[in-house]
Amino acid sequence: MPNAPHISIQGLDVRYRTRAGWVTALEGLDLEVPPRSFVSVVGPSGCGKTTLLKVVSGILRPSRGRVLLDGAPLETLRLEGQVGFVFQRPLLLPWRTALDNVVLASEIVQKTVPRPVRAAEARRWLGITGLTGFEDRLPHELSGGMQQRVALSRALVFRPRILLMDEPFAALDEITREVLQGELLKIWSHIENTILFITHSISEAVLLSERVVVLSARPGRVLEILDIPFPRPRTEALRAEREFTELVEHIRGKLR
Amino acid sequence: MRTSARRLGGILGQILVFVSFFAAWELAVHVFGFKEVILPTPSATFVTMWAQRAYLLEHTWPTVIAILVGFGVAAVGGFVIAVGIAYSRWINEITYPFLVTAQVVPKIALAPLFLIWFGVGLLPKVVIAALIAFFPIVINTARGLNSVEPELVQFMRSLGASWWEIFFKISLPWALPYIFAAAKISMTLAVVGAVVGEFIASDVGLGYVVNYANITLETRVMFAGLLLLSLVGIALFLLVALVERYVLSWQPSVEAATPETM
Amino acid sequence: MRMKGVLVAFLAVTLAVTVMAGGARAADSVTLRLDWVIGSEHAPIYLALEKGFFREEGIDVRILAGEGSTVTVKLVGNKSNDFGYATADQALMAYAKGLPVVATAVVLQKSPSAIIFPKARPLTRLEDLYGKRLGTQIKSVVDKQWEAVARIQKIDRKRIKEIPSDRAIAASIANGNIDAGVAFFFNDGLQLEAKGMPMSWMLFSDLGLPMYSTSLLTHEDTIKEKPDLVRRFTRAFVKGWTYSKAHPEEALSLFLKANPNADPTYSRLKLPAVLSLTETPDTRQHGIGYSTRAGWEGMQKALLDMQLMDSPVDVSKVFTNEYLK
Repeated sequence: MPNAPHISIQGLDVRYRTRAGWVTALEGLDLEVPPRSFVSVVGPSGCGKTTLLKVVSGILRPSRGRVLLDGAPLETLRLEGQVGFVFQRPLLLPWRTALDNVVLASEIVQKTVPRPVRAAEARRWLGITGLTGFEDRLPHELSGGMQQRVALSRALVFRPRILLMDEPFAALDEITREVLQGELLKIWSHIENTILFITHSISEAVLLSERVVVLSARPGRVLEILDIPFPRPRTEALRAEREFTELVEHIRGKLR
Repeated sequence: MRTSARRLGGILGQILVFVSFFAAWELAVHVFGFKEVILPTPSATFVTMWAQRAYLLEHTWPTVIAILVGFGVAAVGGFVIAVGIAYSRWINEITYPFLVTAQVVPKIALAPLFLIWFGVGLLPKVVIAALIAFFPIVINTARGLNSVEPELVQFMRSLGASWWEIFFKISLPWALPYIFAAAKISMTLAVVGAVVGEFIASDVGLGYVVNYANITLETRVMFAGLLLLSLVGIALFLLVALVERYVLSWQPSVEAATPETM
Repeated sequence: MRMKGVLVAFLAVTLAVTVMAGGARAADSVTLRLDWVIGSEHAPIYLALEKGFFREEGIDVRILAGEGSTVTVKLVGNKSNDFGYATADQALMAYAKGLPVVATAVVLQKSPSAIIFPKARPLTRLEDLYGKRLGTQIKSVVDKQWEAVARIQKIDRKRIKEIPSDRAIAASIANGNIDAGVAFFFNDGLQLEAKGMPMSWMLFSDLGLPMYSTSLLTHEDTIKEKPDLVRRFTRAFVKGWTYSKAHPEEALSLFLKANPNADPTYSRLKLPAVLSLTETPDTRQHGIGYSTRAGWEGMQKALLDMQLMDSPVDVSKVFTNEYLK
């Protein structure tokens, strides 16, 4: 993958105005995301996890603090086309086939790339995410898990440097979720770009990431940053290990 | 198999409703002994429709043209206004009260003035049809454009998509089901508008036929005109529905979306 | 909406059924449907009401505004209203279409249909219209009357620029959009005059088109079943007109009192004009409302020529002088 960046978040405050007055979503947040690392953020709902993603993707300007990418401030960089997004819902375009939904991203980012090349790349990613044979299906003809695989392909097809995932598996049933978790790890081992992963599932965070950031309830502050020591490749079997359970319990204790 | 059988049953049911309606009408005329000049039977109306087909058809085309042009103006104008409303809070706020006012003003009350402003012919019909028909287009198109998933727009922005790309690749197709729902309503309103126009200021068209037959007490011709007008309205409605079906072919059909029980 | 025509038919059925169900009523409480919205052309009817002429005859009358003679003859022919005030030609046409309406008093002996024009740009004969703009009423039998007048007077209509203007005749003349218009002189003509534009007119009745105009109508069955009621009603109705002709100022002030929203200037101009139409040699001899078989035959011939009727009827069934006595 093209130069996955080091993300450095320093003293981040995010406040915004609602009808009820000013709300502080994030307060004094510091976080280092090394290149090619997989960092998860866990915390109670409403702790500003999604806000964090918006700031990192450049959509939202922080009230204070800064975000550096390889040492350069975010606002001086043209970030468009360098960030892949996967949301909790697949958010596919219902009128486009699976293939065309993936192509959508490269249509925007890789305008100079010839159409057949874009299509071939999209097809390749659908293959990687296990959707060979489903390229011409419309979203409503796919299961929830398959739709999320399309969304993942769409986020990766244009080779972004950063992958931002906002509770991507939360809406799926448990079995599908575990399968997709496994596949995400497999894919990541190939692409190795920087992943910032948001979840409210502690075990998911521990299983997938190299580093887990525990946020407090609103306003979101960093309670603890843990490095997860398990070697890769990791599998579902990890869940049965005592050390895994202890880590999950430790984090749960922090959040209580 | 089952769905097609059910579908056939549905169509038969629809036909049955029409047949019973006409039967009840026919019966009512005979039972209550209505004079033909007050209420002709449907059978007499159909006979008149056939007998006067040349006259009626001659007056059908001007009405169809007025409806289509009026609808077209409403669709294009309504769309442009809707885009303004959907993307500019300022435009939304300043135009909305005016739009609602324009909608609730009974256009027919302005009828004699329309005659003076626009004269006689196609123009007043088109103006009235467009005025009556454009409101649903504005409201629904704006709603459709605003209903786009914000996260999707956020995603497109993160990719560096321009406003135009987001509009044509996401918002417009996203709003299409809304636009077509509005177009179906507007088409029927355009029929009403064109006929109102023909009532006021026209010497051609089915509205004129109906109005004139009323004055000359040719009630059978009046009903034949009304019936033909309904057929024109239904045909134009189905035309929009057909285009919708073609354009929105990606939409899961109702039958496919309804899980079969058993 | 796609079912508009069918819906209209359905409503028509519902309405008709409702109307029939409401047929039974107290003997002498009756409705009178006018030809048009209330104006000072109806002042004598209000006078009869206000001065108690109907009450003296033991009749309680409710006056209802109309929407054109076409509608009025239908309502009377369908027995939805007991009496109607509508034009004689519409009554004859309705009779030919199977609606048995009978005129018991022909109040306006001459049609108010006319070519109206501003005095400032006067016309002396129909040929003066050549090259000018004439506002016509395509949604009215008045248009057919103009057609007939043009035929009788051998006018080449192609040389006149006819502009359909329907309900906007007065406004279009005021606006200068047309030079003259086909209209009831006492409506559009006097309306403009009331607004300060001196007007003049050529009556169709003076151009060879003899037409009886607004008359008191009732249903054949009502005459058969309640001749006494018809007699008393007609008597009170005509008495209103006779009295008003003798006391137009009183008629006007009673009308303005009963209809405070009416424009006094326009009303004052209109009433004498209307009253002047009630008088012919026939009525001077027999009283207001009297009509002759010859008059009806002449009108029928005109209607047949205008193709507003398919075949002649026995006109003696459509009018009677019996109840004027």
